[in-house]
Amino acid sequence: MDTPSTTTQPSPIEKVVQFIDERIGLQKLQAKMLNEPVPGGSRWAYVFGSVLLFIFIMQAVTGVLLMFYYVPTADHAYASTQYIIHEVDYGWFLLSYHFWGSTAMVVCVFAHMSQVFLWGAYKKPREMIWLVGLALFGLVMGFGFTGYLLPWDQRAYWATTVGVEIMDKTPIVGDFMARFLKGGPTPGQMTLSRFFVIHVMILPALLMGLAGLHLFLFRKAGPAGPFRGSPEELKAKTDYFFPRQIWKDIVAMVAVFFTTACLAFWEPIVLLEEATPDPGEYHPEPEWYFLFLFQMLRLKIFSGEFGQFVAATGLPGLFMLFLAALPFIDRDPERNIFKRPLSLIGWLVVMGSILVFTVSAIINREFLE
Amino acid sequence: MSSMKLALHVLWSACWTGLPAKLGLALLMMAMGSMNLEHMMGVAFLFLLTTPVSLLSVPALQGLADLHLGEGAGLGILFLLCIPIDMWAVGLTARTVFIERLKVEPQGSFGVRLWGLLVLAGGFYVTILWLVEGLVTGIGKDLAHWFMELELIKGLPVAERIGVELMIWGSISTISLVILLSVGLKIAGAIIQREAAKALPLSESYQHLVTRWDLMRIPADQTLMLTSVTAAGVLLIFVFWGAMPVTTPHPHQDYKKPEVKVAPHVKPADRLAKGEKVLAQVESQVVALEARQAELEAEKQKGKPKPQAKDKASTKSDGAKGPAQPAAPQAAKP
Repeated sequence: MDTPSTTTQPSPIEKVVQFIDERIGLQKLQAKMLNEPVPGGSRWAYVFGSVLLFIFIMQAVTGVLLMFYYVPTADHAYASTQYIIHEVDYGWFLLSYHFWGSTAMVVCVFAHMSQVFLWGAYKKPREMIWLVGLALFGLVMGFGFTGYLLPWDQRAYWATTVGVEIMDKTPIVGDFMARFLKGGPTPGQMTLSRFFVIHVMILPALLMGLAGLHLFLFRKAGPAGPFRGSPEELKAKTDYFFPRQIWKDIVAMVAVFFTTACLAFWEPIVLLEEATPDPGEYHPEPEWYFLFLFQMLRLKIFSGEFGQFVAATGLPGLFMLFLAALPFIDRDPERNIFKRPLSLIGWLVVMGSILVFTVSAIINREFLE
Repeated sequence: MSSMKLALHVLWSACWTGLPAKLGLALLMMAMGSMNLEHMMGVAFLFLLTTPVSLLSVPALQGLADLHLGEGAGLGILFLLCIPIDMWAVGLTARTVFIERLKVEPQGSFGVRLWGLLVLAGGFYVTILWLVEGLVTGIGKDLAHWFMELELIKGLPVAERIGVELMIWGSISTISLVILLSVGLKIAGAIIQREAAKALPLSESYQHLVTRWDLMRIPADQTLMLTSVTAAGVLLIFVFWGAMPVTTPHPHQDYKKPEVKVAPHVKPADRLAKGEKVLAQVESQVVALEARQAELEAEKQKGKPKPQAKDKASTKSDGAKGPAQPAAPQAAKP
């Protein structure tokens, strides 16, 4: 009589996993992804990159669902957006989540860039990660700008008109870019078509490519770790990406999802009148993350053709160029922000200025009304 | 470690530890329609929601400062549910800070005791902070307004004026807030330090400490915990989607649905026939007008004197140059 075998048979799921593993090396890939060493251990400050990826996925999911009903024509864009809000089941929530999701993305991009800057994580050998990150920042702003026109209400129309006029002031390429985006003398069907294509096809493709490159470069150089502590201390505290950092990332993602959903409930998206070339009583202004720039243009020092060019494109362009050149200018290996007073003061001044100009623009509304 | 730094370590971590659970509950209340937040006060509500020391200050502020957060039974339920979450969060984070930074082991139901002390102190202090900060900001705004009314800078353009005014009262407000928060942290730090003094010393390696933190967060029966958490999560997802309104929950006053006007049914054959009829009418009108014009021209020609030979010659040469020009307005005059 045969004795029963003591070895347990693999379950169907285990068999499937084994089948895939034999072909693509699943376990190796999993080990490589989860066993990334995090110098100095896991931290809440490192969650922003993962959170940004999560927000992008959520934006893509809600965006695709909205596209099932949205019609990108000047005749039907407004009506189809109204239809999404009023008629489609949970359409109001999807649209409001998508709207607040874009705000969450801008906030997290600012937080992520600030963390990298303050931690000195842009320095050698991470210059490439920083440069790709700057390009991703530009793409996120592009998403916000192009998506704003799509509901085709007065706010959308005039925010785009103001934005394109600001772009028009860029020397050499400004006129071409403004004409290309508008597709005519005033925003119309061609503008909507172009913004839609850029928003749903070109920018997502670019973002996916650059985000992949950003991750690849990050894994190649490795995490920078905290800016304080001796190499021995950091080595002693070094932990793997799984489980502590993953847990922190998941908690942060859940918190961001809850916050965005709460905002969607608290302030669901409201459309103004349908877009017309006459602003009527509506005072055109861009989305909140461009308000500081809009308020700067109101200052007397920047009045006139040249002044408007300086405020609209000159200063922001120079600032972006400075950020791009930063890893090559700042070659000091010191990463502790408290030992880099110039960087700390610079960051405080930039953030303070953005805050003051944004709040000023909000107060300015009272004077216009 | 200074008392301020100690309080910051405990309270900052406790805020973020409890926040996701509190936000999840707030979202559920909103989906069920049992909680509606006021526009600006919603921000204050969420701010208060994040701090484990502000629980008692909320009813105090509602009475003293006429603070109105919103409507609905969900607000009260949420505040009650925040109590066990904060007890757990304060206990967990304070225990971690004690073991890691102070190298001491707290005894007994330390988390509940510490939370109780912090809530009592916070109930008084956050109320005072809110009132004082409001007062200082008001004074700052008055001061900024007075400054802007000075003759020297009265002619400042609107945008610059707003910026300068904001800088003045914003700086006063920020400085006072930083001072008040520092004092508050000192008070909280003193309470935490008193608790630390009662704790027993600890001597373990870093690896042992890490193991202890993990054990503090992971329950003994992990399978039971994971199953119950997953079941609760699935149940909450169903409750959320079931309770969430299909259409927008609280319509805005500007959020009027456009009235749909039904367009009349179009019959192409009738449209074409009607169009042809209109064209025929217009054509006959044009013909009648042209005939009338020709009659008038003929009458005018009859009434005119016969042209001289010189005029005839010039008329001929003009006619040879090109087509006949329309009559000059002068000639049309009677």
